[in-house]
Amino acid sequence: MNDPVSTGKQWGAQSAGALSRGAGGLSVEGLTVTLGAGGPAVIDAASFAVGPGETLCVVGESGCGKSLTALALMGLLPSPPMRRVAGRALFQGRDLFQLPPAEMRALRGDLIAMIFQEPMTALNPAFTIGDQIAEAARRGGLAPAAANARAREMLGRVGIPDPAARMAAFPHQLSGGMRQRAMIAMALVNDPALVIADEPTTALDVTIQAQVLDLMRALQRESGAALILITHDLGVVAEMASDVAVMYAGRVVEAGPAERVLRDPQHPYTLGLMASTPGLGPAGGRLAAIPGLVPAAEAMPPGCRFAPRCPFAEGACAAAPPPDVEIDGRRVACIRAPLETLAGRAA
Amino acid sequence: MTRFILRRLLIAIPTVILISVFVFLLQKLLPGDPVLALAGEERDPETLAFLREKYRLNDPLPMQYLYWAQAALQGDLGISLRTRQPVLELIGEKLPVTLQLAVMSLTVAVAIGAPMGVLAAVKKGTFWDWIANAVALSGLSIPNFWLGIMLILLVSVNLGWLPASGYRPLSEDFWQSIRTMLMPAFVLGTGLAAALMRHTRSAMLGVLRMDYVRTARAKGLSERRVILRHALRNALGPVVTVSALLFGELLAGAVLTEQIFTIPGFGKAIVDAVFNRDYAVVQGVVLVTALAFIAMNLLADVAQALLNPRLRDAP
Repeated sequence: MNDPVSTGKQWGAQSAGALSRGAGGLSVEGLTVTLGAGGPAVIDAASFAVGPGETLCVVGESGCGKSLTALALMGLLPSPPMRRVAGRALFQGRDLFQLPPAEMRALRGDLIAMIFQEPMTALNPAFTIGDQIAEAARRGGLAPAAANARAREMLGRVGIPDPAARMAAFPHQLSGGMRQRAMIAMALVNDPALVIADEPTTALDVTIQAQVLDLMRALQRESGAALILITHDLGVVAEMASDVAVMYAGRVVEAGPAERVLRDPQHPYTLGLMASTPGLGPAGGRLAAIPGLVPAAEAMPPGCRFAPRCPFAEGACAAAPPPDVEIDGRRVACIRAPLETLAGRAA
Repeated sequence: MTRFILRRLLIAIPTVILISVFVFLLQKLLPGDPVLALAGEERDPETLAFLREKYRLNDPLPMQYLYWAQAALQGDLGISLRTRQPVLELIGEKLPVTLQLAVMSLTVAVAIGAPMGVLAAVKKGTFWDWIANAVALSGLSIPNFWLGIMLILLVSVNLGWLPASGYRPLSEDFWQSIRTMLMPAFVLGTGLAAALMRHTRSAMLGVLRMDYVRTARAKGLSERRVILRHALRNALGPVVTVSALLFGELLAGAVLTEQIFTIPGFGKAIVDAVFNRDYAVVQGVVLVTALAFIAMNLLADVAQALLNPRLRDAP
């Protein structure tokens, strides 16, 4: 065993409500990732935290750096060209970014697991799902027979009917929803303390999406794991999140308790995002689109990165990056916050 | 899986028929009258007419094909015009030699080309990638005959480690047979290794970008296991296909290499037959080579299906 933290591991012994092995909260501070050495920052000083049993939703448009954030936390950034140049990620008292590669690898798939977006391509087409789940379990220290039994048990727990038979199925023989369930079973097989899910429902039909989210919530309740859920869908945030971090062009622009952020957004981008989401924007009106496009990594505005698209922007916004301000229990990176007096103009 | 193989066999049948027609016509298209060749000095019109009748050369062409195909199916490929030896017997002598050389050459090619391709892909853009490419390029550009002669000079003449000639069949003298084949197999194998390396490299590069490789890493698997199990397994498809085609090429014989190491294989047999206008032998050898190619293709398809579960379920 090269796993320094897996003391007292007990497979399948956890009862409902029990915390998983060790408290799995994660606190990220100042994570900065650049495109090449000295290149533009695609993630710029991102900070957020999630506690055990809680769900943090990282939300933003595609290209805002949320998937890269997940990969950076896993130590799986495509490097080159991506380089993590600054930041801390405290997990069980250790900074993940300072761990030697071998120790980080020991954590991956064991105490920290990841669920990917597209289960068709994220599962290996050449191996059965039973094989792939058992492989993850073996890696956690189980003997082959026990790993197979554990894989079967997990397939049952994620709601795949007739798990014994499905062990021998290849990914292409399963439906999209079943594949994602298998993917979840694989991620959770070693009972991780922290789960990072990158758009786990985006590739699925709407009806299946709700099922998979329900499943993830139920499994999290059982294990008490911390969950970082990356999504572009504010509907998912409303349903799942205890906390939310809104990302725009590589920066966390607003972070705080989900309920407060969704009820009363204080960053113009969050506001715009909500106004463009059915069911979350002002009732009865047309859905509002945010004008303009996300700036390219090489052409980031020097000040607030959202300023060129922001209806509240003023001269000072383009001058320097806005400092974080503390408003109503959340952190907002906007010099014009609080927006309360201005909100009427944006809708 | 059985259905998959059966279907592939059925698809192969029209190809075989087409090839047999082509091989049959080969003889008809070439200039010269076989009866005149057969009769030799005898030019008596009655004898010629008798021979024409005897060999049913007056029948329509499709009928002649059917006679020929019927005989070929029963293993009668005619006799060599020069040595009077049945063609099938001749093939029976040459085929094992060529098969041995092909198997040994491909082993060398895979043993060198596949690991080098994997290394070059994993270490893309580094010193190792550069080395692998340089080795591949030299493998492609050094002519086999030159490498063969140099090897004989170095290994046989100067060092005296391996015999330069004196091939004996496997069944007669196993070790002598292997020893005489080592150098020619190396010469042919290094040339093919270059192609194989390039194919392995590009297949691996494609696969290493796939999401499931990232998933394997996210599972905390060792880099070794990620590459050798999750990536290589998916990259093997094109590599196996190329290997099978290379093997088919090897079965057609390697004229120069066989000549240099005096190996009595297909390559030498077919060149001799062409120069001697020994049509029956040419036909027989071409037919067997073509069939071998089809068989290798079939094997490659089956291997693909074994490697890629999605193909097995294809309708």
